[in-house]
Amino acid sequence: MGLAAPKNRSRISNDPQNTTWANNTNRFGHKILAAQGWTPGSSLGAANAAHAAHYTAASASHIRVLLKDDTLGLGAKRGSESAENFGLAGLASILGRLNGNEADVKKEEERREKVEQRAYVYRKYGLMNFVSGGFLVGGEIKAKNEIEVKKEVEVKQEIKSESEGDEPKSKKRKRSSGDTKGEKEETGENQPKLKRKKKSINLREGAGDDDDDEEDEDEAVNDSSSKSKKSKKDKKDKKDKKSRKSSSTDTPSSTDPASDKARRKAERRARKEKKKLKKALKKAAKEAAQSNPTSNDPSSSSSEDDDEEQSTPSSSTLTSGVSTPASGASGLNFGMNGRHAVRQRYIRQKKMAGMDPQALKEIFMIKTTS
Amino acid sequence: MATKREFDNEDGYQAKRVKTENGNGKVDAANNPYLAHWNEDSSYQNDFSGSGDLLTKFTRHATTAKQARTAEDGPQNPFTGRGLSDKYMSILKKRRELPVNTQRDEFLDLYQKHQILVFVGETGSGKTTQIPQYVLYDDLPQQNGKMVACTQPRRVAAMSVAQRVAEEMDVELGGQVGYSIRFEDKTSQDTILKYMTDGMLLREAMNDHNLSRYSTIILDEAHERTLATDILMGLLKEVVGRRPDLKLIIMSATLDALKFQKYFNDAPLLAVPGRTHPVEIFYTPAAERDYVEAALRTVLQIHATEDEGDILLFLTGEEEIEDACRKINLEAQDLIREDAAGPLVVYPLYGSLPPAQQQKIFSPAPPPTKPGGRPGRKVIVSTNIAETSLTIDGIVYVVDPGFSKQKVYNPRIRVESLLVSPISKASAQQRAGRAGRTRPGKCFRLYTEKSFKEELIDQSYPEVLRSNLSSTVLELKKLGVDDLVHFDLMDPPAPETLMRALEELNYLACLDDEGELTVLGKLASGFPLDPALAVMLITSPEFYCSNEILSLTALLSVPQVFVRPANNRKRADEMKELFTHPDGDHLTMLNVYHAFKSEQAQENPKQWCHDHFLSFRALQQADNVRLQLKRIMEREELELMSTPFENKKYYENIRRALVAGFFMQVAKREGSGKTYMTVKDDQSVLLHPSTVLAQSDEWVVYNEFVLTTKNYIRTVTAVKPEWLLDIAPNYYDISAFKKGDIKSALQRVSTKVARKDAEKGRR
Repeated sequence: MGLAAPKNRSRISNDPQNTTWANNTNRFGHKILAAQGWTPGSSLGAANAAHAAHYTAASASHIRVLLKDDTLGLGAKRGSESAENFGLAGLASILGRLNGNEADVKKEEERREKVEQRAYVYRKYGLMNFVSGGFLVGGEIKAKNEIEVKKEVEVKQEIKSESEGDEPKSKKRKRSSGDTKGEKEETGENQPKLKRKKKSINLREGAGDDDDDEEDEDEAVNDSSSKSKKSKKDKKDKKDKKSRKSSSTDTPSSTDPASDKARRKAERRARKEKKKLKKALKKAAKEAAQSNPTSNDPSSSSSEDDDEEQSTPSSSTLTSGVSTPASGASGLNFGMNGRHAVRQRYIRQKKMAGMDPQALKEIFMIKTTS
Repeated sequence: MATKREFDNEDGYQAKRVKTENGNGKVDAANNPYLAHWNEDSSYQNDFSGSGDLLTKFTRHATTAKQARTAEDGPQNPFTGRGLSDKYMSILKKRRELPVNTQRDEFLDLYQKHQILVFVGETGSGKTTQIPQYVLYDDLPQQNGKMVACTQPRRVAAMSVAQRVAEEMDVELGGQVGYSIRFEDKTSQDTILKYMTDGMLLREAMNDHNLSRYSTIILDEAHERTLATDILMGLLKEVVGRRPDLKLIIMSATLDALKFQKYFNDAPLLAVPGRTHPVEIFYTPAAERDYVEAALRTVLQIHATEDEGDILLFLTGEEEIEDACRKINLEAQDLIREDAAGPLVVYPLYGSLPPAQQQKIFSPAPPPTKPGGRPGRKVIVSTNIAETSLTIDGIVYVVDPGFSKQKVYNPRIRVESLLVSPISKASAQQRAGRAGRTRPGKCFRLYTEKSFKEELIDQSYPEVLRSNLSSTVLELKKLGVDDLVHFDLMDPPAPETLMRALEELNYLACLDDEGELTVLGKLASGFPLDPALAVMLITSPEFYCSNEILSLTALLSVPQVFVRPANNRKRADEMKELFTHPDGDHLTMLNVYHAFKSEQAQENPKQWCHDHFLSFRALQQADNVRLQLKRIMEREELELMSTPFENKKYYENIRRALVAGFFMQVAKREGSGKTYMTVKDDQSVLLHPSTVLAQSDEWVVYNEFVLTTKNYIRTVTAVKPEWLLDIAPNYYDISAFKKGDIKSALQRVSTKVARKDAEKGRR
């Protein structure tokens, strides 16, 4: 909040740590302890205790706790993101450039952009983003790949959490703002779409006749997206597994003519796409974007397919495994009414203006290369 | 300093009923409920010859799991000789499937070979119910008139586990299997397995230093590191040296058992895996600005998008929880209206919630609004009691903001308070583990992975490092521990904390100048109270107001009696005014109690409390505590009396008695301003806004020091400085005071008193 925050004054006593007491060695307590063989500075407990190595600092002096009277989250610092609001960040980057720290400035700007993107999503949808941190098994956290081998149960869950990573977030922002971005983000964006499409194809392909092909395909994707993280790859493998499983259950429904036709169509599309994938990822991305709507063709889907379709959009259009509660466009506003509602809207508008770096830069007449 | 010590905490209570069956009333021990077993020796043989002991052919400490299993299979109950019921058989089948069962041989082997054993079993391994029974089949306590004790940190756990084990063994509760908790002793002469709170065992140890009635002691849930468990461990470590026949098992649910092993001279360790499902952990990518709001959003998100399964959200305090529940309800209604999610019910859960409402959390999630619709879900918003104390089935999602209210004690300013602070890594894992009880779950942590790794401490601090130790020191003295410096605790407290405790006890005259327990100290240790409260109560007959002080002590030992709902503050304040006594909050509380006990109020006490914005539960509890304390007073032959109400000294006497206990918690107003300064510790404080006291009184005693950004003193009553000098001359030794306002004020008072005395003398 900065200067606008309410002032919170508190009176501090002359001796808040009561050193008068602590430094007085003539006290009864001090005398008794000394009489029993305690020397100032040493901790209590049995002499040469075997477990002495496990003593914590709290055995030497009382536990000190920071008084917390706000709802600031763990690890958050007051005013940590406020620089942007005052346009000072732009100024800092100019000074940085003048000082010749070009690389640092770039890094800082990228970081800020990320924060901004997050802030945008936050404002628009009030989402919570989460990053997976592995599994807790018997008191210890294990990485994903350690556990997936044996836990078939997990596979199902995995799919839902698939889009938990960072990339989809940028995608989200992109789609809503609609402007073009760099190449790097492009690949990140299209990845999920591609995958989704491929899955719908697989479902129509009948009993696993060309599993190998699929694998190749996947490999191709993996190769081309060298930037994608390893964890992502893991997820995909698993997803593959899942889709294969479902395809095998799907066999009977694929015999009726309507779906047969769709299947052929799908196969053709798949082949076409494979070629393109081998050429360049950019084009493949475009293609995917085009063919995306057709994959929702209702006539071609079996019941299982339907389920799949329902769950996939929800996990991929929304940014995280858990995603938007449909509670209005601007996040939650808890029962605000009357005067407060008006005031809140006003504050929000102000904030929006303050958060738009472009506007601020204009106001401050700062020219940056971004 | 917070002297409010809830009677709900687990320290034992001496006022429990005396075993009358064999009280032959000659020796002192005969009247002492904790020594009842001393008189029982003769009766043992008779007891067990008739009970058809099938285990006579077993050799003590040389049995095998196979032998025990055969005995368990029946057809007769090996402990009672009766036939076994069908229910027993079906339970037995389930018991054989528990993870601990596979390691029974291994356990027996270690148990037989070693005196101390550390046992680690995750939740769901069956350790609390099974291990004591395994011990019974090998230790055979009935053969030499001993017992097996198993301690629990909580009363509820002791009761419910005993009930379960009695069923498993096909015996009556209170027969072979019993429990002993404060106010309630459900054991008999047949009892060979006794579940009890750790506080109760500590109380027993105060009277029988060797705990001679037990052949095996099992300390369960040792990882919780309650004050009583920690002290018991230190004590038992010594007892085990004195009594080679005593066996000790330490059971813990977490894997920091290495520390336990080291502490108990490298005792062997046995670990049994639990039956939990994997939980996926999620972190936020960046730190959250507002953890409460983030938590609410996460809950709603889970509800809207995740599969079926209940949610457990951890928040810090009552107010925060109630607030969150309201908000979630509001938002969930919106969601349901727009058909974006299934029905949702929200339950709060915190310690001071009435038991009936606590029970609600176990009700199943609501059904879908229409058949085939989206499944319903329940959300439990809880303090950290749901972290270990309670197990709620069906939880699949856990939301963890990373904070809890924790007790801390600052010995320098003598303030014990509950403060919101980050949890430890171990607690975060415990919280996450709650999601994996029934099936694989997810835990959403509202902080980054980096914060988890860098900002959280590894283990939560044990209670012994976070508390005011004055009552503990008194207990230790009573337990015969003289060398407090070298008493072997697993985590020794800070030296300053111990010094403070000793000094407080010395000023209260519970310890003499050599550090030995005085008569008053011995008396005070018999009360399950803070020493200051105990001393106030014991000395109250000197002020002719022990009845009133007894009521007041009870009132100070229970949660706040005044209710001030957010939507009806004005009315609540008006009602409080009815009881107000201008001299202070203590007297106001006393008025409330007297009004509560009036015939008019007792017609329909619940309604009366509701009408007057008072907590019925707190008053009822106070009434109960008063009764318990009264029994102790009667036993100690402390006179119960009152100054006649018409006497103008009625209230003055009570205030003087208050000073006798709380002379160390006095503050003096600074100049003519609003701030007060605590005596000796020199902390500047404000009167808490809830006080009835006008700002004009110069000297006040306070019951509680509340630590916030502004420091408050709560529950204050005006006193006269002359009383301080008169009643606690040791503490108010003017020469020992630091130069300043308080010293000069006290000097003025003392010269005035001296002059008056001189005048009196002349006359």
